[in-house]
Order: sequence, then C-alpha cells, then structure tokens
Amino acid sequence: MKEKIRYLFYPESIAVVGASTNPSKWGFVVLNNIVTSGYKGRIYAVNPGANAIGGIKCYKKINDLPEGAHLAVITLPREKVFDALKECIAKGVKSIMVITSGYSEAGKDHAELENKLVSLCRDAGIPMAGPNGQGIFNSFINLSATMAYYNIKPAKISFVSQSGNMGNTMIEWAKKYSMGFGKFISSGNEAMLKTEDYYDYFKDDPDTDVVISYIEGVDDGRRFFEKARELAKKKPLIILKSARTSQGKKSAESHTGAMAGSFDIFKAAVWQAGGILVQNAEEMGDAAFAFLHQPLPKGRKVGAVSEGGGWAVLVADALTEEGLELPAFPQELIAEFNKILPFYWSRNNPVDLVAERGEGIYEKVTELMASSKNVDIFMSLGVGYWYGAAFKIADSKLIEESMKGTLIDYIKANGIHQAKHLIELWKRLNKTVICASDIMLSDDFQKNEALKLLIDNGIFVYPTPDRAAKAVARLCWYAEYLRRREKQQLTDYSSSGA
Amino acid sequence: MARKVFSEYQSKAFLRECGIEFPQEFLATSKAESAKMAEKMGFPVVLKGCGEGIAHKTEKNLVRLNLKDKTSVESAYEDLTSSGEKIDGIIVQKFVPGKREFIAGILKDQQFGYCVMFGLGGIFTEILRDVTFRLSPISTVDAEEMLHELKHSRLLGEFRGEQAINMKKLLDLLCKLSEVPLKKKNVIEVDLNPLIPWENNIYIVDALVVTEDEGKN
Repeated sequence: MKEKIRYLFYPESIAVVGASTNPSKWGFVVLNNIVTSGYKGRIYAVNPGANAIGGIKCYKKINDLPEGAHLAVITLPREKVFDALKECIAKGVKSIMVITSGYSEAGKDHAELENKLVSLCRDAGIPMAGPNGQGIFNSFINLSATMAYYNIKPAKISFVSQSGNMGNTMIEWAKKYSMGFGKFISSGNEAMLKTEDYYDYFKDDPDTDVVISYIEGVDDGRRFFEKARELAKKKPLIILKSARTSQGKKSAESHTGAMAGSFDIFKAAVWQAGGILVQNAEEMGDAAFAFLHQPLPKGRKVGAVSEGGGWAVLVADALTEEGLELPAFPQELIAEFNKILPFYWSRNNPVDLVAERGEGIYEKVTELMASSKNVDIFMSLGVGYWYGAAFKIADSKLIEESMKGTLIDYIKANGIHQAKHLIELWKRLNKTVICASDIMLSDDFQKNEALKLLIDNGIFVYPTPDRAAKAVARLCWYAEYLRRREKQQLTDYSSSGA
Repeated sequence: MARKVFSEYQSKAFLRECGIEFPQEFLATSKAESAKMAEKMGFPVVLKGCGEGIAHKTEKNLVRLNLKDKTSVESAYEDLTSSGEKIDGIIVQKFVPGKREFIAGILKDQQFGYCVMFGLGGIFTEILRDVTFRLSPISTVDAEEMLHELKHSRLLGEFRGEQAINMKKLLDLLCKLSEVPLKKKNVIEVDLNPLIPWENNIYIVDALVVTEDEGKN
C-alpha cells in the first residue's frame, strides 16, 4: 500500500469525478485549482451533462476516460460515490481521494456507507484517502487538488492533517515567512488510510525531510505508535494534537489508572516514539523551519551574539528555561574578543555587540564564537539590522541627498556581506545556526535583502528570542533522543498491545 | 467480564511470579501470631488489614505504621480486625523509614494498550500529578527518559540525609513492571504504591493488582 500512496501525491493523470460547471461547487473548485495551480499532468473531468468546463473536456462516464487515471478525486453527492468507486476500480484508477462528506463524521448511522467504500478499495488494493477530506497538495508538481490553490516554493516539509483548514494555516504560515512547503494531505475521516499510513510513505519519500502532523484522534494507538517510531528514527516528526484538555475515564480502581488522562498517554506515546509535540500552529512552523535545514546539535551549549542588551538578557532567560546552556567563554576567546570589541563590552555570553557598526566586527566575532569547541549552537540575534540601517539613511532629513546613494550602497553591501559570511560559516562548520530578529515582526523584512538571503539559504529567522530558544530546545531534544538509542538496542514492542 | 481486585497479599504473590521482589512479610490470622511474627522480624513493624476488593487501605484506615513493641502490635491487630471491612488476615511487615514515596504502576489504555507509569507517590500523588507514562514494555532508555520527565526528578537524588535512589534497581524495576502484561494477559491495573527508597534498596511496601477475565466458560 505504501508504494501505491505515491499515486496520491505524484499522479501523472487526474480525473475529477463530479466535476461541475458551477463555481460554487466543490466539483468546480477542485478542477479549477488543479488547472490554475499549473499542474502539468493529464487532467480529465467526468460530468454526464457538460461537454467541457473551461478548456477541459468532460467525459460522461468514468469508463469513457482514455486511461485509468493515477488519481481520481471524488466530489460527487454521497449516494453516487459507491458506484463511482466501483467504476474507477474497473477502469484501472490507481488511487482515490474522496472529498464527499456525510459519512462516519455525521454519526454512527452513516459509518456503514464508509465501511462499504473501504471494503471496495481494500479488495481492489487501491489506496483511498478520505472521505470528508479536503484534498491533496504537492508543490513539487504544482498540484493543488484542494479547496484552495497554493502558490508556494517547494520545501521538503510534508503535512498530514486530520483537518483540512490546518493545511491552509500551515501553508499561510510558511508563506508569511517566505519559507517553502512541500506536501499536504487532508486525511478526512481516515476510513482506509490513517495518519500513520502517510507517515510510512513520507518515511521513504525523497522529497520529505520533515513531517508535520495535526491529530484529533487515532484509531489504533499501537499501530500509530509503531509507524511514528519508525518514521522518527529517520526524519523529524512534529505533532500538534488537539483535544489535549479532555480527561480520560475515571473508573479505575488503582491510583495509576486514575492518574492517566487520555492526553497523558498520547503524549507519552509520541515522546517514546521520538515525536516532537507542539502546542499550536506557530510552534509547529517554528519547529519545522528549524528541522528543515539545521544540522542536529551535538550538545546543549549555546554561544550567542546580540545587537542590543534587552534581547541578550531575554534570550539567556529563554534558553535557560528551555534547559540549554550558555557557557562562559574561555580566557583565550575573551582575549580575542578584547581585540575586536570596544573596551566596555560585556564579557558575557551572549555577547552584546552594543550596536557596534565597525566594518567586519560582526563577522570576526561570529567566526570566533561559532568555531569555538565550547559552542554546539550558534545564535545571532538582531540579524538584518545593519542592512536595515540603509532605509533609515534613505529617510534621513539630515543627510544630504547627494551623499545618500554612496552611504546606502556601502551599508547594504556590508549587510549582505554579514549574511553571506554567516551562511558560508554555517555550511563550513556544519553547526546549528539559529537567527532571530524583530525585523521579522513586520512584513518589511521582505525588503531586507540580508534577511532574505539567510532565509532563502535555509537559515530561518525567528521574530522573537523565545521562539528561537524553543525551536533550539526541540532540535536538542530530538538529537538526544536519537543519540541515546544509537547506543542501545530498542525494545521489541510488536508482541504487546491492547 | 469478571473483574477481580486482588488483596495486597495476593497481589504481591501475583507480581512475584513476574519477577518483582517485595520485602518479606507474613499474613497473620491471630493476635498472638502477629506479635510472634513481629518479634521474629524485628521492630519497628507495620500492620495492614488485607482482603480481596480492598483498594485504598489508607483511606479505609487499615494501616498502622511504625509499631515499636509487642503491645502496640497487639492493639493494632485488634483495632484492624474490628474495622468492619472484610479481612482475610493482617499483614505484618518491617517498617521502612525512608522519607520519600514513589508510585509505579500499569494500566490498560483503550487506544494504546498497556502503559507503565512512574511518579511521586504518597498522599499527594493525586494533587501533584507528577507522573510520567510509557507504552509497555519499555527499554532502559525509555525508563531513564521517564525519570527525566518528572518535574521533581531531583527527589530521586540525595534527599535530607538519605542517599540517592539506587538508579539501576529503579530502572530494572520499571522494565520488569512493564513486562508484567506480557506474562499475565488478564491484568488491567497494577499499583506499586508506595515505593520507598531506603539505603541501597527500593522497598515496594504495598501493591494492588486488578484483573479482568473474559466472561466465557
């Protein structure tokens, strides 16, 4: 089944079954988004009453299609879905996404219809996503077979979500920060393919480096756990679980039984599997962007530079609260800094650069600190400030207009040089580099070429020091989880369960 | 489905079969016997009312701690046997003077199956809720991670003149406990409560086992 899931994400041909001429219908919206997103494969529409929708030819029946499409997206009314699936299977369709609603989500009475769809697909050996799913997105092939169409650069983040609109949220999140996104599937009721089946697929998918997952509930806890654990051994798995506050049943005789809320056990299973639990979409994005390009830290020692005192102190608090260390610098490193920084520099970690604008200072301090054996993680706070100063020159009412051009060019060039140096250093040392800057708090960051350079090269810039600290802590947690298990054989869990 | 709540004495016998060790204890059925056993064991001792279906002894006032001589053992015996609870006998146990109490246990979760728990025990267990869980069975690495997750994991270290808990024994115990459901398919809940670290040992002072058998003949 795992191999066949590929047809859902990389179809070479798609049939929209239930395609509609009415722009307010799913059958139109999905077809429209597939076409509009720039999908390059073959697109077919099935509609018994129309000749064409836009430029897309309509076929009266599934059987009339020139081929068994790799993916059939079903947007039919519920009563027509079962027969349509039968026809799809007969035609040789390779995978099915059922968008149609009104199944188990509507109550027990409707679950039987869902079971029938599952039996049909299972017998035929065809993967079925949904029903009641919002669709499939894959930026690597410009595919938006979804309610919305997304225009975002590809990145190796794959998302399986039990809610359709969370896909939208995460893609918007990535867009806000000029980050990319890879795949998204709205798994709907998960009648046949469960969250963990997609884990299984993403585990071996070369276009996936980070998996994010939104979960409301799991059916088979043990199976979920096993698949999550197998995935997390290879790739970071970030999980956002809703319904965290609901309590478990309280009919236990023992203290142990009475202590276990349903989220306690879910949390334990995720941690044991090596998954990273987050509280909300922001944390999920922050973690994903760190895991996407950063090498895992070798330890918890952070060396940090800051453009300004407030952030230096705040980040020290945040890092300490997250269990990270800010070691004092060895004497020889302090001696080196003494040569570069003004006499009144703090001599503490983080180093406050006291807005020192001397050319090359930032690069020298950064080089020395990041290279230090005492530093596993290098943090730079206030990146992009230098470049940002150019805008202030441009706005200045004091500086003569004739002077501005040269000054701006000089400052920008230096800002770019700092960013390029940091990127080069990061690649050379292969250490974790985490940046933060309040310039990210507004969309103005888009104009800051130095920041853009960092982000486009894979160094995400966090808008606040505490968000950066939290992301670092998650990198460390996962790195340590893997390290502990490298040394010791894992318990075999397969023999037990409910 | 037939659910059975084991007595303390039965629970320990059940768990001994799974390799979990308990301090020596006797089940006395007469006052004279309880005094004789206490003397043989050495004071101070603990007396506890023991019976099937009794899950919360402290709440039912069925525990007498730190009895230092024959007279206090005898009066405790009389006291416990007249409590009105259905009692099979009185457990006589050596009193463990450690100041810290922990809890470990097994539960069967509807979605995830058997889980093992460890945390702070004693009378504040439910208030502090400083406990962690793992799916059972666990490796030593899993067990170590559980301990690190406790908010008050420092309680495992040196504490008010007592030495740090014997980590190897604790990890072994948790692993062994997590394997109980592999050996006993009908178990649904286990409490080891309290676990009291004292000197180089961890004493499992009390235990509770609940089983559930399919209602088939």
